[in-house]
Amino acid sequence: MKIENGKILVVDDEKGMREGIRRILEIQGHKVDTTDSGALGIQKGIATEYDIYFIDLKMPDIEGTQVLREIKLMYPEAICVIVTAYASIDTAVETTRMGAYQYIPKPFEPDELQILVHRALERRWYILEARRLREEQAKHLLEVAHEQSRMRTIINALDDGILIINQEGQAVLFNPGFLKLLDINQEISIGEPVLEILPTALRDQIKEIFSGKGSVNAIKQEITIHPPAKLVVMANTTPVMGKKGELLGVVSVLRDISELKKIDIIRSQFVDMAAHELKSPLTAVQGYLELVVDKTLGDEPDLYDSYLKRSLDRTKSLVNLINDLLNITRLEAGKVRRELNRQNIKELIIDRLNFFKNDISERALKVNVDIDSNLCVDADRDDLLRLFTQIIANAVRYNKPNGQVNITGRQNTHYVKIDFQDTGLGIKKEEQDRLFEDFFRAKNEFTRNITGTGLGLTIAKKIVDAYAGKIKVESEYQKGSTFSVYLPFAKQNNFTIKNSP
Amino acid sequence: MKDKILIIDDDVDLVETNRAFLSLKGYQVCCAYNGREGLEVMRREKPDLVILDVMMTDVGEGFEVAREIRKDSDIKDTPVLMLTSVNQEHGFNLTVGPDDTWNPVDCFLEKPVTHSQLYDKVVEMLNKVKQ
Repeated sequence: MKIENGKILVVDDEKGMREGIRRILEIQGHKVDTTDSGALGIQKGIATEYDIYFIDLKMPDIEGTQVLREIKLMYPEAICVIVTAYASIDTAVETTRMGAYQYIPKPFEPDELQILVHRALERRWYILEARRLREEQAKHLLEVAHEQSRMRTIINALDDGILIINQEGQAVLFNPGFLKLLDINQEISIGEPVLEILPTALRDQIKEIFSGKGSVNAIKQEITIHPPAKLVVMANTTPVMGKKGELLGVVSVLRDISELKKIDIIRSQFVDMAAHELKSPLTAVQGYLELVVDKTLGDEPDLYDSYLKRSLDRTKSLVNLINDLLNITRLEAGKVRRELNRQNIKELIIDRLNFFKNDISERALKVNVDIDSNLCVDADRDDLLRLFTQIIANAVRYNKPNGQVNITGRQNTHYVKIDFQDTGLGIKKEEQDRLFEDFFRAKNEFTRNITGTGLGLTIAKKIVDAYAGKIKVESEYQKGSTFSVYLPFAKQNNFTIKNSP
Repeated sequence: MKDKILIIDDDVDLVETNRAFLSLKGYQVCCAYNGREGLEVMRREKPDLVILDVMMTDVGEGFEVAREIRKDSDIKDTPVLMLTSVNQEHGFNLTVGPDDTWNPVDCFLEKPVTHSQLYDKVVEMLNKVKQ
């Protein structure tokens, strides 16, 4: 390998020599600069690094050896060829000692020069390549150092706790997250034995990995840490293996899963409640059917009819319950695909009132709707239908015979407010707070025969929440309740805010 | 004299089916629809056996009733049959000692319970008391 087009400087006071070298080398594609004095040679030679310097030994102003020294000082790896008419072993030794690559006696043949340049450029290539590799390595080392500090920063910033222990049970690496999660307040330094200060469960995990000599892949375990605060931590300990498969140590990663645990408990409570709510109607239906099928009570056709009717009601309520449960699960999973469209409130309310037509006439309820026909919100139609169904169902089912349902819709500054006022059974003060809880149903002698899932208002609230709205209740026991739904109004409502009448 | 059984359950239909069935079996049956009412009826009627629903919706109401029964010297020896919807083994961590999870009932039956299952259990429990 060699440099094909070299950059060459000729420093010689003798014009013939300068031009001669130039001509020979330029033909070969090299770039040749010349100067006619030692001083200029130093100046030019230092300003840029040439691949080869030809330096005449005897010049009127400055000796060639001086030029060589200056250039070598600047570029220790420069290839300098000494040109001299006074060739002697002494000069040769002297200049070589000063770092000259070679010397060439005047006069010389063009062939001689070409061979010299060829070899010099080969050497130059190796020098440059070595320099490049050296620089690259230096840069790489710098990157490695940088990378290490970056890794350290990242590990320290992690919420998860990380602890690496060697076989001697000494701390090799840990982060603040580890100290915080395990509530370790004492100072620990790298190289210090730490097993004894770890919680027993974690220590056992680590010991198990060590005793497995690498045959145990990983241990994952929940650890409860208290005091001070009850913390549930997922500890995941894995062996660190060397290149030959030998066990070097272990790494434990700790993650705070207290919140997940809480959610877990809430969820399993929900499942328990759901199971209860599903089994109760089933048991009731089973009980009635047993009485009817076995004719247990003798010849009582009317009684049996009423049992069958009640069974049918409970079966329907079971279906409703299952639908409600599925709705809740969907709402909670955030899987609901909402299509936001301009929805007319009055139209939807009328639609729902039609849905409850039979229940309304059964109880001889009087329904008043006072909603501006332009009142709109941007929402998913199914969401709003479901929401209004739940609220109107309560206003109807918990109403008294000949009672009233008044539905009013108004536009406030920021919200569309829809009030559902009923003259029903009302809710006791102490029960109002629990109204939106899963499966909560107000229980008293009046509500006993009303079927419901206890999930209606849970669903209503979830829907309203999904639109950044609000649902509120005002109620007086035995007198009636007003449920108010607030929904953000449609942005370009072609509806001007009216002063309330 | 006929044995007297009290049914405490917030589900009207469950009360009705069990009432109808147990009356037919010759028991004297009284009913209550919540815990407070149940304890009142119990103190008044002094039943020979209580069938108590776990009443999950009013968090732990059934358990509360059971504990109240055991605290009242007048009625504390009444056998209690609890109806649950969740298998006790994995549903609740119940203990027999008087702590937070103490649930002092004599027997659990998991819903749905058939009338014959219920009857067998009632007979068994009442016999045990008499011995």
